[in-house]
Amino acid sequence: MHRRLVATAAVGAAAALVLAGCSSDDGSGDTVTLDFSQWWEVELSEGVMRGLMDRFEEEHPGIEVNLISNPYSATVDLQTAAAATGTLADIVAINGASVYDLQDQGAITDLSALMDDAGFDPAELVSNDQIDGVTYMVRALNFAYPLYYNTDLLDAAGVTELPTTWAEFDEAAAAVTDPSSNVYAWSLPINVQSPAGFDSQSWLWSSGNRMLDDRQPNFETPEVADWLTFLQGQYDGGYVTPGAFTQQEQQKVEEFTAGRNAFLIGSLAHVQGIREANPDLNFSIGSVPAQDGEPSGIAGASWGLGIAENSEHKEEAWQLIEWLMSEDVNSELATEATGFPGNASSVPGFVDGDPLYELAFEVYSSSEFVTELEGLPQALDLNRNLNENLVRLLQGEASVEQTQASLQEYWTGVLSDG
Amino acid sequence: MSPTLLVMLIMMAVPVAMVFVYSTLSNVVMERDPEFVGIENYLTLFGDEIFRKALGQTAIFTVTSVTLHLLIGLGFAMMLNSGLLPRLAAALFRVIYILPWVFTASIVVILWQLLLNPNGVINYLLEAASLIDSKVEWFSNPSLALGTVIFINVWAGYPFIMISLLAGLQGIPGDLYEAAEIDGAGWRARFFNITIPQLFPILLAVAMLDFIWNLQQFPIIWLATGGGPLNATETIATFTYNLAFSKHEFAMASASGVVLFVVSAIVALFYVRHQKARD
Amino acid sequence: MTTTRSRGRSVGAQRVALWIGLTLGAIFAGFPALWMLLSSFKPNTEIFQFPPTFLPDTFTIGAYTDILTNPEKLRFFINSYLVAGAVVLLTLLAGIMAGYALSRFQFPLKSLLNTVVISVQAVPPITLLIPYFGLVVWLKLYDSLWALMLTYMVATIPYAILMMTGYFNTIPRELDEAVKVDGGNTMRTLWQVLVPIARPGIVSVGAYTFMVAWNEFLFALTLTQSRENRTVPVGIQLLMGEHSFKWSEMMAMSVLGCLPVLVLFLIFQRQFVSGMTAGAVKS
Repeated sequence: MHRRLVATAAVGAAAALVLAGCSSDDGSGDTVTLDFSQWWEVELSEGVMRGLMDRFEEEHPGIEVNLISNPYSATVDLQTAAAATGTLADIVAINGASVYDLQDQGAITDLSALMDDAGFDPAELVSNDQIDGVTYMVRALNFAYPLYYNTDLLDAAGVTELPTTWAEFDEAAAAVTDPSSNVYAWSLPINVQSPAGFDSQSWLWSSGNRMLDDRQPNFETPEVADWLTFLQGQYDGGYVTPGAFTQQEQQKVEEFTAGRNAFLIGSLAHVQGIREANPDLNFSIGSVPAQDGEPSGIAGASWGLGIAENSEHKEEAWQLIEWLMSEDVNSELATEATGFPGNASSVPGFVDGDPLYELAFEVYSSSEFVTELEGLPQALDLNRNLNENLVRLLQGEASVEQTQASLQEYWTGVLSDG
Repeated sequence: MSPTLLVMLIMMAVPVAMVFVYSTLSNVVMERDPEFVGIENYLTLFGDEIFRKALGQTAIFTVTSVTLHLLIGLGFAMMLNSGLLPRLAAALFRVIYILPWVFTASIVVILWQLLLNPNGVINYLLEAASLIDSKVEWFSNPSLALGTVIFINVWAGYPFIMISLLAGLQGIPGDLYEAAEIDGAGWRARFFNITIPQLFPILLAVAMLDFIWNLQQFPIIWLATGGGPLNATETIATFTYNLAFSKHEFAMASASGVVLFVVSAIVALFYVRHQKARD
Repeated sequence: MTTTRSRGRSVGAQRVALWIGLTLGAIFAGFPALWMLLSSFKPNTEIFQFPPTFLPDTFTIGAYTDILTNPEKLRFFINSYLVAGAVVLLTLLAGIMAGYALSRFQFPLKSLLNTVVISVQAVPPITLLIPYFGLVVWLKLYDSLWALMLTYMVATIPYAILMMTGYFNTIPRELDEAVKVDGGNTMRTLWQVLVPIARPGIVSVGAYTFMVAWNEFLFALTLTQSRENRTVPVGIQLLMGEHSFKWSEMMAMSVLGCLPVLVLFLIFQRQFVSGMTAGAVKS
């Protein structure tokens, strides 16, 4: 069957070449060109990414880097399609949500072997996530998701002390929420088209609890029940901005920026954006309140790097990754992106001098960095399922126990044969 | 010309054939050596409650969209073609009426998300007019979501029908109307006895194409709601996408695609037979 | 102008009804677009202000200058027009020739061809994406504008054939007979008789084809990767970041993109009032 398809297509290929006029000439000379597909260039200030690559090229004669920018929202789909057709770029920016599936698809290569060959010590990395004992992704940057709060709104509502427990948060939320003037305590975007952010999970993690136990779902615990009950209470209390079931991450940020939300759980990368968009907004940063007692976990995401299995220049590709992970370059990247460096000895430059960032760094260093969904099979699908179950719960179509059971069942199905 | 046509034929046929083959295999793309499983994927598919729900909603979405496209498209086309407008006004309205057409799907959705945001201008206007007393969650309310998505789809899709029918209206001989008028026929009689029958070939062709396209409408639904909340806007297209790109079940996704293909092909077959009967 | 010329007071009543209908329709069609235009002049925060502002409080053309001074972004526009233009020309050519054949001649396998042409429209693009992508890579067309042109033609030519057949069918056959009696061949019949009469149809097919090629996102994203081959829809998507959207710039890019389309349409829309009805020709 396949052979016949190929034969048919061959006829077309000849015609296509005539049509195209000439074929491109690649791989000539001694210069190696690395394709680096990422969404970072768009996130960073203009020219930052290219500037870094120019410096890399200068320090590594014979290697050129071709930056390919893709829209963030399409990253995972594109990589899946590219992997299926063998066109994945040499170096791909990935995040923890897709790393498992890409290695499962055989699309990204064993980095442990490349590290060995290059004599790189993985101890230089803040974290070295492995799947079955092999590293497939190196985290270039980590992004922490603290709690932002609008000091003006809290002052106006007479909330003087920052909530550290769920009970305190509940009180504060009740005090600030005022639908008639369009102010709500927070936003809970639980859409299914592009699940991002950790607006629901943060509460559980900050209380020191988890959804998984040894990579297997563990939803039927009293802690998870309390967590779901808390979310339900927030929603039923009317503290959550309307439109939660289809709200997007970016809309949530706009609500906070516009001064309509008192709280926001979001990446540290938002600080600059909020300041630029609304210079008059007074806000600060703290930990997400825990069920009771000290908050202990902070949610996070990462910018990771992997190398394509189909790359013909794996060694050179690794050189680029190693360079991006080197102490100075990595802290520079961290500064530009307001993330935390993946190199254990790098210090992000933004921490010094800005009280808000100093505060954030404090929160980050005093908490455990939680990335429960990263590195799981079909992480995006699991996240969708979580949101779907939350919608059902908040809509009153499922009880807390039913939600726990439903999550447990679906996640078991995915994770046990994954 | 002919090599181009050949390439095009290949580009049409080969991927379609491959989708058919995929749909009978165990998980392609993800597995290195997929096995032949016959109709198993189809059985799994039809056993899925959400797929069946999506089938029903696809029917509602498509039929409502096509009907409204035709009504609005025909209505606008006839108003523009009435001959009672000054030239400049007619030109201006023609341009305004095709506006929804010139935007790419993601912008269409973003725009409507802004307008229909609980804090958006439409709720604001409705509130100001005392038509609503609390913020309507156009997308997030499971009982409104499908209607909202259909509305956006109608807005974005009618210009195609309108333009096609406007062109069709030009082809109706004027003397037909004059003769009818002399016979004393009112506008209703003229509409049903002349306009509709004369327009019928075009009407039928655009209705069929619009039906097939809306059956697979994806970007608008996906970007607006992702098929949610609670699968309230799930259609075969969003279901297929989820199978392929979220669950990585490419064989199942192909099977789901083939189901859509078969439905569309049946519609197409009816159309072709009608054409043949007419010849 | 076409037809109706009723007498007396009923014309006045009709006019009033018409103007009311047209205005309501224009609000339905145009308000969102107007909102987009207004938003493109607002800073990000004002777009989300509640109660909303209609006219921008803080008027800024920053979004436009950002786009117009960036050669990479201008390239998106050039690519989109290049692709859409080529696709329209080739599609119309193919559609006119094949539509003529299907409308005027009987030949074997005609209904099979018809069914195939229609059914190809029926496979959801998402399912086709991966096999199609594979084919394009294999044909060595990946990351070129050629790939996009071919892809869009695959989608638009069947449509064009179908619609052109429909439009030609509405033209009485006696007209071609007349030319043939005068000694013209079939090609002359097509270009000198049918094409001029079917001009409104051709313009409408051209408009549709243009919009498809101009607005398509999924394949434009997948089949190209380098910046110099990106089109406007992908450019717009690139403004939707991981953490925030550049709302006003997205709106501005969309406005800039549609302006030339509207101008083109303004030029070609005269075809819809050319008064070249089949009836007029016949007499």
